[in-house]
Amino acid sequence: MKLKFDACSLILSQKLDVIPRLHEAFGTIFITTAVNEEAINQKKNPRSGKSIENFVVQGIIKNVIPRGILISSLGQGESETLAETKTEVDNSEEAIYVTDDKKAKKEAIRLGLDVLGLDSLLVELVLLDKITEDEFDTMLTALDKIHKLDLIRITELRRFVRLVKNRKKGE
Amino acid sequence: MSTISTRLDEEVLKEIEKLASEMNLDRSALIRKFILDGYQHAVLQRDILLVHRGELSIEQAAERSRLPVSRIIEAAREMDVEIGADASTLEHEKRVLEKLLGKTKRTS
Repeated sequence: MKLKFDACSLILSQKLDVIPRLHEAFGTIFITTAVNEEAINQKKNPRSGKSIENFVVQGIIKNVIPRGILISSLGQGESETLAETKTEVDNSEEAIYVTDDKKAKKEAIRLGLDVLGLDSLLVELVLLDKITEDEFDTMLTALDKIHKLDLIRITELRRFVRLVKNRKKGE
Repeated sequence: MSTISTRLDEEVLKEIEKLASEMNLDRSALIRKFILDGYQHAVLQRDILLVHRGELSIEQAAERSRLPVSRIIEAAREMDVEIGADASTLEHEKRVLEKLLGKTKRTS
């Protein structure tokens, strides 16, 4: 399963210092040219740019030339990531578009793609026992300080964690 | 360039003149800078509200304001505006999480 990150989710992951953990759980993180430029362009964002560039050098993040038809109703990086994810799926590969953008997420769902946000990926880390529930709560709090989260969404995600954890205990 | 006129309190104008002198600018240049900065700030605020309503994406807002995505994220947080996904896509995401959980378990 390939995870394709747009710039917003990549930047949030970097700020939350969770990229190595995501890599450990899900393998290489894929980004497109425009996302690479947005996240790495050091003139725009020197601190986070350098760190993300290091992840590219280490092979944790892989930059790919996007394929597929771009959607004009999104930004360049979102559109490239969505088109690249769709191309993978059309080629019978399994891919998930990771975005924390409301409009991009709805567009991806409309196109029949699997989509997750960084907050829901953190849920997956808990369910895979890669982080504890306490770490999950700490990360959500930290994420909310960077990027205000929707309260109903977060409550539901926490409830989902408890539900799946209880189900696993019962198995 | 067009010329506009506006009214300002004497006290504010004196403060602007003082600041202009400190910045080695003439009064008009400093007032022009204030207007442009204020305009850009207002456009950014308007676009962040459009992102909040899902009418504009974060990257579209960044492209329109010629700012990095990270700055849009910061500006939205400063405004205390939620620009991420809401709960409306959660059912879809829960299904994807279950699917991913099954696959990751099988491969680990």
